[in-house]
Amino acid sequence: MKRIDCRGLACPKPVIMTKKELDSMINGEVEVIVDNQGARENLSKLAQSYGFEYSISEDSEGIHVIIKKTENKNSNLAEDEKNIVIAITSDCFGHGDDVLGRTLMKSYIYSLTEVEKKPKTLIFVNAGVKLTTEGSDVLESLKILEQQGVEILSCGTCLNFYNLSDKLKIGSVSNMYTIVEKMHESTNTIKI
Amino acid sequence: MEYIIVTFESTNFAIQAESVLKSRNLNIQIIPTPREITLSCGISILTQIENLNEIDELVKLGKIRIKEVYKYVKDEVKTLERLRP
Repeated sequence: MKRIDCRGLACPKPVIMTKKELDSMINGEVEVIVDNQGARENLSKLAQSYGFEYSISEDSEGIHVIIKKTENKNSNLAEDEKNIVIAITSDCFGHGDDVLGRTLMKSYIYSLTEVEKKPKTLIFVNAGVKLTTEGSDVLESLKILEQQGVEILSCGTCLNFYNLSDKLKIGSVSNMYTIVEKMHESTNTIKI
Repeated sequence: MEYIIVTFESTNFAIQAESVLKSRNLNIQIIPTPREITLSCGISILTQIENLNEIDELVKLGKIRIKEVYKYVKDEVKTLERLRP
């Protein structure tokens, strides 16, 4: 077990040294010796924020904080565990010229089919629903994404507003409650 | 599957070509130019290789202006091979 003696060191030195040590190892235990209650508290908080188990004991040497790093409790989720939600709020990518914006959007959605790491969900809202309905130029790419396991949702209110309710060609209709839940469950929501 | 990727000197030529090819009911897709071709932020057109003759014809007639055409094989291993110019 790695031992770090932080006695006599001022805040935030013990936390920084411990964090550095934890980050450098895949799993295992670190014992940190500190000499004040502030450092003890900060180390507990550090372990909690990572979701690691820890124990604290005191003896004549000082306060011993032992933090156990376990791979799967790491709050820095592995890349493939990330839950990316992309909210597409327009049929244009970016603001400026709409013709360019629509071209960029086609290019963007095609790129999603090619990248290795897929989003979990694509949510189409407002004019974004023009992309999931009849006449859209990206249906082929969206079909590929759906086959690759990406969930495709279109806002029902928006389909109704644009008179596209019976023109949906890909994915399913969703309401705002589901959209809010999907966004809150995600580790990263990207708004386009 | 065998496709071709058509590249352009400018984004405007790409957008214009898209509208010409679509008006002729060619099945095309706007894609970002693959990094293997250029690292700049470019837009290309992806379509079936069978459409190459018609594209050549349109270029000859001056209806579209293109830069290069690559044959793109999309199997396990993706390959690019320059066909034009």
